[in-house]
Amino acid sequence: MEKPSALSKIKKASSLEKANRAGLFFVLPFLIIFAIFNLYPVLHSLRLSFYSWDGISPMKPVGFANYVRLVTADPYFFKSIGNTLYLLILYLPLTVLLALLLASLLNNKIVPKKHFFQTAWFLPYIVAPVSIGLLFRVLFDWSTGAVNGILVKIGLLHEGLNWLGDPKLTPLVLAILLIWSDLGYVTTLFLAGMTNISSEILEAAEVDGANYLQTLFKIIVPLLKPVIVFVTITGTIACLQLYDAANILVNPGMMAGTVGGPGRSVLTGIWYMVDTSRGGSTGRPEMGYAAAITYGLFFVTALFSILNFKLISSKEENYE
Amino acid sequence: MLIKLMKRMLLPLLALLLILSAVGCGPKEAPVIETAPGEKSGEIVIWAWSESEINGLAEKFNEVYPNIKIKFVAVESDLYLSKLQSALVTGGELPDVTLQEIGERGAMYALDIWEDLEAAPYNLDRNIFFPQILPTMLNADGKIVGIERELNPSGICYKRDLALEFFGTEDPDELGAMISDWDQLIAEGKRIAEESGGKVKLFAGLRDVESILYSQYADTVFEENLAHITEYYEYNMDIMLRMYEGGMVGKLQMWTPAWNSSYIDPENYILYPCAPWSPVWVVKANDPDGTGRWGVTTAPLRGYSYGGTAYGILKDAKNKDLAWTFIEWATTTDHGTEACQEVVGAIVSRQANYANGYPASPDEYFAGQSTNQYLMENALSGMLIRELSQFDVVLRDVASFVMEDIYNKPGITLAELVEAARVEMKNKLPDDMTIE
Repeated sequence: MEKPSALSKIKKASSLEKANRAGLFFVLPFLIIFAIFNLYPVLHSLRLSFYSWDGISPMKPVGFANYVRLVTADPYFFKSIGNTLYLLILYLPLTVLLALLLASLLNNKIVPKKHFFQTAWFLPYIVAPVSIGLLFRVLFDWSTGAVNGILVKIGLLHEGLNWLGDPKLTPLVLAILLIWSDLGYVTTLFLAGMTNISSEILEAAEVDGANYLQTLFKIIVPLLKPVIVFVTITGTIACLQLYDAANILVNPGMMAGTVGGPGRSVLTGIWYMVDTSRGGSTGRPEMGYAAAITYGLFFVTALFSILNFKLISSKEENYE
Repeated sequence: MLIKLMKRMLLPLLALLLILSAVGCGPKEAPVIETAPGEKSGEIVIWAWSESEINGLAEKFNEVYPNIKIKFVAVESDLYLSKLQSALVTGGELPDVTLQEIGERGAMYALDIWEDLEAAPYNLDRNIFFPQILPTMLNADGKIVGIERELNPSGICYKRDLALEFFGTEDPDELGAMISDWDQLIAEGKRIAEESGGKVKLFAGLRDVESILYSQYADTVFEENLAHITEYYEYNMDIMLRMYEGGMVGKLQMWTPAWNSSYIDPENYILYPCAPWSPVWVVKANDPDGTGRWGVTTAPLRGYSYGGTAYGILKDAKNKDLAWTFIEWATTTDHGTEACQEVVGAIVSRQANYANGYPASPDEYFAGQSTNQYLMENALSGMLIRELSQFDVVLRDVASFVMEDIYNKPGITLAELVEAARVEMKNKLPDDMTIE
């Protein structure tokens, strides 16, 4: 085969360069918009975290004071992280387990009208968080809510529980809200994963005498590990970013509620950040400190994501 | 050659077009056109939460200033301050006339973003207003940076049939005399709770009581770097704790659908906080078929100021002159203040409107009672309003936080409630503030 000549190499390089330039021009609009609306705000907020600013007066540089305050003198930041961890423990394992069971049911040939059930389960996911918060607030109202009404009527309770006013109960209600909202979406992800599992493996398991649950937990679940990792990490991030549903659930507006709910038991990191930036319950907007909270949350989110990934991946390696 | 040059330019041009198409148009400046000497015209932007109210006022305003158009922008009262801050920071369109709801007014006035309305070119005379209302119009420097549109001498709305059954009277004066102070009210509440087997309560929830107590408290709470919150919470929490333990307060959270529904509940709750705006915007709204069922009486201890909306002008507003034209019309002229009375249902803050007393306006819904006249004659004289503070929102938030302990921790003591409030206040207030 003839070696390419120097001239042909130069021509090829030149046409590649042209192609690269053409490609660059086509991604340039995206890059510019990304730089303006994503990258710049991120860098600006990082810069802002080293200032004290109420949004109106001139910015005052404070160095690392905001971060020192965050780590050493802010009970609400760690409370919000603790609340989120607790919420994660209540919400994530149950969501994954229920979604697995639902997906395996939907994947089963004997279940009729699968698409109808799949759609029905998915619908809550597309409802706005604000609407869901409002709905659950009405359902779990202490005096007039349907939940208390039903539980008292069937004799499970003597009198209604203060679901949205008791710091021990409100996180449970929020967890139920999140499970109801996300179950359909997670089920869909697992279902997609299950349809990709080769039927030969399942048939082999059946031939070997494995029952339904053994097949589910010893064959299907290990093969769904990548989906579980994805669900766990995104679920953790979603919990750390939770705001609308929690706020609407416990705050009827007109300044009649408490920021973070009863005992600040459902105060999430983002809610705390928003309240700090606006000064809603402190009377003084602190945008610089709110930016520091955001970066504190970022580090916590990254840490959780890495831990999740390492934990599940190391189990995967052991399994292999 | 030319074709090559055009081809070379084509891609960058396409890219530029794509970027420009993603960039929206900037806000148009509202034109101020002088159509004739002395005749004002243009457009003013008003951010408000009630379109019907602004449209109603605009219609009246245009009878006098036909060439000034009012553009209504819907902003929820809860999000008003944060939207203002966002607009100020981002350089977005600002309102010319700003509404300042009493809940966030202290925090709003702490920001140096308002025009001093007593200074030129506004030259407002504060003496035209009721003196009681002045503290709600002043910032920390004593400057008027907002004009309170309405005077809100407030009392209690009550259900006549339950009052007759359990107080033995539905007459407003007689009922008011029976609950003339908080100790009397608590004694009556205990009796009613016992007689009804715990079924009938005075108030639907603790927040109803707290709203009255918060507004009634006249002593200064925040000054310089001192927060006198111990006395504040001792006083308020003592009353709320005794009322809840006495079984005379329900479990409904204010402004929830359940609380709204309690207005048509004929059996359980008798009393509600009542401002001059409550009959229209709360009572009739929640109990549209309640004609003849309701009355208004005085609150325990004294009248209080409940709610309120002021008009202000931002320093960065585009059309300050036209904004002042509207505000001056609405708050200082006969035509404007009468429009406010009619459209908003407000008792206005301008004294001249009531030089001959408040006119009677019997309301069939309230069994012929003239509610605003009653409140003016019985609640205004005793009404005391403390000065605004940016930390008023902290007082309310911490009160909500501590009230939950009253609900959830039976047997909690007053000392424990006050201590919980002190801890929360310490967490919320600036580090350099001393809590007493």
